[in-house]
Amino acid sequence: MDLVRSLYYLGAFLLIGIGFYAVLGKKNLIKVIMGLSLIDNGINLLFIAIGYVRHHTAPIITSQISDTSLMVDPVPQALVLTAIVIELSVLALALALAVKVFAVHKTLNLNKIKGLKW
Amino acid sequence: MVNPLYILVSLVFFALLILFVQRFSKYFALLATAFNFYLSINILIAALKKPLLVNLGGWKVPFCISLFASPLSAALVLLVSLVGFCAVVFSFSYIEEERNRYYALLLLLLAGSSGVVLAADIFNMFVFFEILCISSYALVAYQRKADSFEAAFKYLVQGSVGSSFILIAIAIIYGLFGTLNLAHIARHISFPLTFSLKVALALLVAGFGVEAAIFPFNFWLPDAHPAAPSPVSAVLSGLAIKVGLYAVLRLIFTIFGYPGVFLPLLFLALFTFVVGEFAALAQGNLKRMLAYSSMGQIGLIAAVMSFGSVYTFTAGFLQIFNHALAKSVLFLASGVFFYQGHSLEISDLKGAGRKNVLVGAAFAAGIFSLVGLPPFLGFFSKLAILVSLFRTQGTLVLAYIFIFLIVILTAVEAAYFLRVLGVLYQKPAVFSAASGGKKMALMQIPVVFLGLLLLGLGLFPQIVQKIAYFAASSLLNKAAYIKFILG
Amino acid sequence: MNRFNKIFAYSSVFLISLCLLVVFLLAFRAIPFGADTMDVGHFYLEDAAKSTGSANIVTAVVLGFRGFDTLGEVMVLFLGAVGLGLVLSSQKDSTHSPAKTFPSLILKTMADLVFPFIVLFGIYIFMHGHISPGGGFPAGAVLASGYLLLFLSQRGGYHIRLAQRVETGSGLVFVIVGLAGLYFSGFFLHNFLPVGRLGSLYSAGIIPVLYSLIGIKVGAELGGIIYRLFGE
Repeated sequence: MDLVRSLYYLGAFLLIGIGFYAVLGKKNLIKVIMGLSLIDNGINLLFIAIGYVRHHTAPIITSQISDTSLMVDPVPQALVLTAIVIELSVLALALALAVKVFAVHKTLNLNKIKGLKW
Repeated sequence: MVNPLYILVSLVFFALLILFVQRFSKYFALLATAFNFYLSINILIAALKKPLLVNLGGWKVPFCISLFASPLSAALVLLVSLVGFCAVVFSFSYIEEERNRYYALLLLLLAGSSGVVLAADIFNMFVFFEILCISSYALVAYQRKADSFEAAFKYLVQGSVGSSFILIAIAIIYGLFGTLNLAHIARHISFPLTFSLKVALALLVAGFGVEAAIFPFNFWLPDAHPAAPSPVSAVLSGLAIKVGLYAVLRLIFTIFGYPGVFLPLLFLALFTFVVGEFAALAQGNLKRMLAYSSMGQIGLIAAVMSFGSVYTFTAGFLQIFNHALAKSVLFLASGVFFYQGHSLEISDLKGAGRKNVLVGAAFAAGIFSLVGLPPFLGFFSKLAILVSLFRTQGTLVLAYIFIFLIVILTAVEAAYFLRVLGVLYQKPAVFSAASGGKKMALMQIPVVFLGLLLLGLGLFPQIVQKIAYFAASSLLNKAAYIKFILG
Repeated sequence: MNRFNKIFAYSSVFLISLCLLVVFLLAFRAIPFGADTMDVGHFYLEDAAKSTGSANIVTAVVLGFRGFDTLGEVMVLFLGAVGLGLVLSSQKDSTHSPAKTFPSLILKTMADLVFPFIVLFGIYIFMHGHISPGGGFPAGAVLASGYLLLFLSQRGGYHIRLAQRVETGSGLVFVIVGLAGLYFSGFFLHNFLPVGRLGSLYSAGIIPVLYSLIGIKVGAELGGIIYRLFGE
């Protein structure tokens, strides 16, 4: 397995793995939300890494670059645009809920909040 | 005009309009769902003759996003619009605060459900799935009490992780095939499945399985469905989990065409079924009991579907229709009881059936239909399930075990449901029927209507049986799906 | 939880994450990094300039070929804002405590000076979405960062009602433009304005119109989210 070439994949999966660990293992509500954010960032990196084609350039036609056969895949970039916005919405809602949970329980510790145990 | 696009666009348009104008939200919502109901009937009639394909943007398949209304999709869209319409009518009197936001969220929940079902493009399916999920996270928190926030947060975290799994699977699929069109992907997939594709399928099942409430992804359900206001619970139990299950089934059977998933799926589904029904037995809170019952029923439906024959699919779809309608009746009726008695503990509902004759009767209809008693729709769906299991070839042992479990768990269902029914009609009526008048009438209409529908479809089941059969055929036929879309 | 349980719990979570990592790495061996696995991608690269007129091919994909996804995405963001508004709207407990720190003179002065440039930059980004990298969504984020600066400097003057009208209004216009495409050319979100000369500002049909709408909408939406989180 050529590790150097798959460095981007490795990085993306490390982010996803760390995020996943945070979601499952952390006690603080905000850290769980940060774990979700990490997972999302890892996935976005993964998408971009998939679209990359060796030695090709960004898919924007300018006066210097107009050969479209030497461009990277534009679709994953479009997908990431959408995914970022979707994940932003989820995060905003999660933070709003965390604010309210804190207001009710005065703590962010999952162990102390009865309703949030798995 | 008979274009599935209008279903989505109308819901989106009215949701935006409600928050732009900030008035008349109830009426806009009613208009949108009524229009959708009418439209979805027409679409179903057209789709039964020939499936509808809409290519958005004017480009050719597979370079565009498409909407595909197969008989299966059209039937589910009809179910969505029907239950949605009833929920909106119920909400007229039941929902008094934050109406604008509530109706916008509800309309978008319906839009998300319809979008997932109509999608012919995997990323589009994901986007509409997210619309469904996020609106349901917000609506679960609607009552803004401690348990609502907690339930919504738990649901959000689990749903979000599930959605991440779906995205990773999309990354795998796009990296392998370079396309996002479902039919195009299906064409590329052949047997045996490579390891990457198996991982992708597992991720997709896990991700959509969170919304479908299959074990072990359903820990959010017992808290979320009761915490939501009753019309939202009806929509969630009746529609949202079905849509999640639809996504799982569509991907497994039509796109991947992989019946080898049978054993793990059956095992998980049976486990869900058993756990759900037994847990329901132990509940004292009506909505929590209904939520666990939904879990059990989805387990039953998924287990039936996993056998993979046309007959089991038909039976499964009949049960989907039955459960959606019956559970909606039960949740809406519980909403009526809560509105009057301000409590959802079963012990506090003594005599409620006597004080609310119509709602009590509809509640009884829902219970009888779920348990499977004639002359309701549930009788035919349970019968179809048992008959189709007898007819399976090659997996007789498992089929017999399953039949045995169904019999036992139906008895369990009967136990906890009839217990509630008994309480409802208990003689010393503790229940206080507080307010009456126009508000109550408006809430009773959808409940009674759905109850009558269960009775009517039970007396004349041919229509639903025919639709279910067409839906089942369209799910199983991978080659026809590819040929129709890609030509 | 005693020590042993803690170690067991954490290590099992760690092992699960590690297993996931390994499974993903193995799954992605079939997708070699840097290889050309495009299928529809090639078509988009070749055809974008001709059929959409946008020099930025990612924009052509986002608003042209996959415009319906963008509509869904706009709706998702709308949902996030509405959901957040719903969740934060209860009056029972006031989670808003008045600010304990007051903005310094530097912050207040610079915020007033810098804000117009931030807004200008945001407008530039969404106007040129079809020529250079960017587009409506980053533009909206930039605009919202300008509003955030206003909130941080406690300048006041953010009209939430106007923002809400702008937000929902631009969403409605987006849908109407799509329906207009349906009316004029028979397909939803079809490009019915002239395509123009590639690379000029007035090109790419409805794409700059849509991106402008999106930019304004996202800016108003994110501004509203920040406003509500500040607990005004």
